[in-house]
Amino acid sequence: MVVNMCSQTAPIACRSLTKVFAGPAAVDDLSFEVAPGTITGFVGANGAGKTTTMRMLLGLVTPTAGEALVKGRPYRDLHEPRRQVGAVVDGPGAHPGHTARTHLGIIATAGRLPLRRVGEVLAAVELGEHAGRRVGGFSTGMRQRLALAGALLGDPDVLILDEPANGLDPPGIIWMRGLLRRLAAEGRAILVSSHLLAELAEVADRVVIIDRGRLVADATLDELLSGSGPVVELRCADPAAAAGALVAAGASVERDGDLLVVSGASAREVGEVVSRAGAGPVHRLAERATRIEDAYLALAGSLGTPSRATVADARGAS
Amino acid sequence: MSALLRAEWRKAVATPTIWWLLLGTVAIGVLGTVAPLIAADSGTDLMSDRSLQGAMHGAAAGAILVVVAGIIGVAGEWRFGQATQSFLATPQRGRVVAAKTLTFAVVGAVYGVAAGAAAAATAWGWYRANDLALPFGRSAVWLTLAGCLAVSVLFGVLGVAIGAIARNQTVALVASLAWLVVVEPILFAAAPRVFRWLPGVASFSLRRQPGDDLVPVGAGAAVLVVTVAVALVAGVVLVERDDVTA
Repeated sequence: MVVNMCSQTAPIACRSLTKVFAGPAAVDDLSFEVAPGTITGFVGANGAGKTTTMRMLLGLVTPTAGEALVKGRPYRDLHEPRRQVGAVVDGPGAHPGHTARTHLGIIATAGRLPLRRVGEVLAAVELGEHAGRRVGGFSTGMRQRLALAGALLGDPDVLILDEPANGLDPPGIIWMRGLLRRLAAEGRAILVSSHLLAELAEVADRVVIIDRGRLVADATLDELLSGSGPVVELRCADPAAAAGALVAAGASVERDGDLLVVSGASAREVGEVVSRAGAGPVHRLAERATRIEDAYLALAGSLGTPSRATVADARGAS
Repeated sequence: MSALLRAEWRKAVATPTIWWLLLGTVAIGVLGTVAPLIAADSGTDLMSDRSLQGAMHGAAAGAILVVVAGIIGVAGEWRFGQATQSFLATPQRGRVVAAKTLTFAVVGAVYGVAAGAAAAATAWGWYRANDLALPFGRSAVWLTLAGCLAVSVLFGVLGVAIGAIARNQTVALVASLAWLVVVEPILFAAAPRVFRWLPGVASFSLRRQPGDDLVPVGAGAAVLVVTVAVALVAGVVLVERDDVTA
């Protein structure tokens, strides 16, 4: 029997992981691993199963089938888990009446961690001057920083971070990227989720993309980008007719408003197809390098749509 | 376990609500002690066992707030995501509930001692104003105060158990307050011989409220202990079984 030692000791591993709450599976036969010293982006639309997967890795949700392992074991079997795994799930988990220092002090006490770590991690997330303030008065960005501080308390070499950049302002997101890079450079294995691939593109060594609980892609960013050639952007009078003709001609087409993003055909071929189909006049016809979003959309077709609809709905509602 | 206990204790004392509830329990305990004394007509023998118990059992009049504290201590964790943080440190969830049980038994004891001391001081003052000395040495006084303390401790654990079963603060608070304040008294008034075995009514026996329909003290204590134990086991089973999604 061949035993893959590397696979045996992966800091984070999901094996045929499945969770069914009610109705269709929230997570469906999902397998992937995260290596030490790397950042793995965990990407999917809202409701794709990212949070459920991470909660299974953390022993908070029981898998229906398969395994969710940290350092080769279920989370429940880890000795002093706070020293081994740091997690951000759904905010800091602090009572609004507690101060930041009290909140972290409670976590440190329960996790048998030295209390001096509280000051250290508060400084690391740049919340030192707010240590004595009640969490109830914190902004969303401060709450996310406090959540990260909690994850770092035990100086763990595995980090499982669910949407840690949610609610951060642009400087906060840049700060977060720098922090993740430093943490990975120290040899930690990091699994970080986002519903925006672009948010992780700059830091992730690998990307695991899921859609409706199923694995869609598990690849490096280079692999994702090299899988498809350059794309052609087309804007013309009758985009519906153009799209139909291009698909019939064997190209694949993503529609973004009145802009068509065509892959699998050169600019010249696209121009000829549109002309033959009578979908002109053409307003824009340009070849460009594949962007990370193109690869994402090509892999997970429907994925982009729900998030955009959500944004539009939110705007319409407000 | 000691680290977990220290964390839970720290959590409890850092929560402002716990202190407001302590204040409330003491205030209601004082009122509960004074009310029967004010209501007593001039012919009443204040030194009788019945009068002494009637006054002193009021020390536990606010014990229902200990239930509230226990519920907030457990179900409140699911409200603010603290439960997730607790289980990340201690994935053996039963141990977390056990630590909370001990913590809120102690919180109940602190509430009970504070309310008992305030009630005793108030009664002492009232008796003195009537040229009487409150006989602390008589069992009608100290056994009643001890019963009030026992109710307070058991109610703290009851709150933990209810909070663990419901894991929704509002549902747990509304259901348990409605049951103890409204449903049980109505049932007891309708058929005392049957419904004197209910846990809330049984707590009146344990705190030695004078009353002919109540079960004996020992039986009352047994009913309360069994109720709390069964609820606690149910709470641990549910907390261990269910997914933590908040």
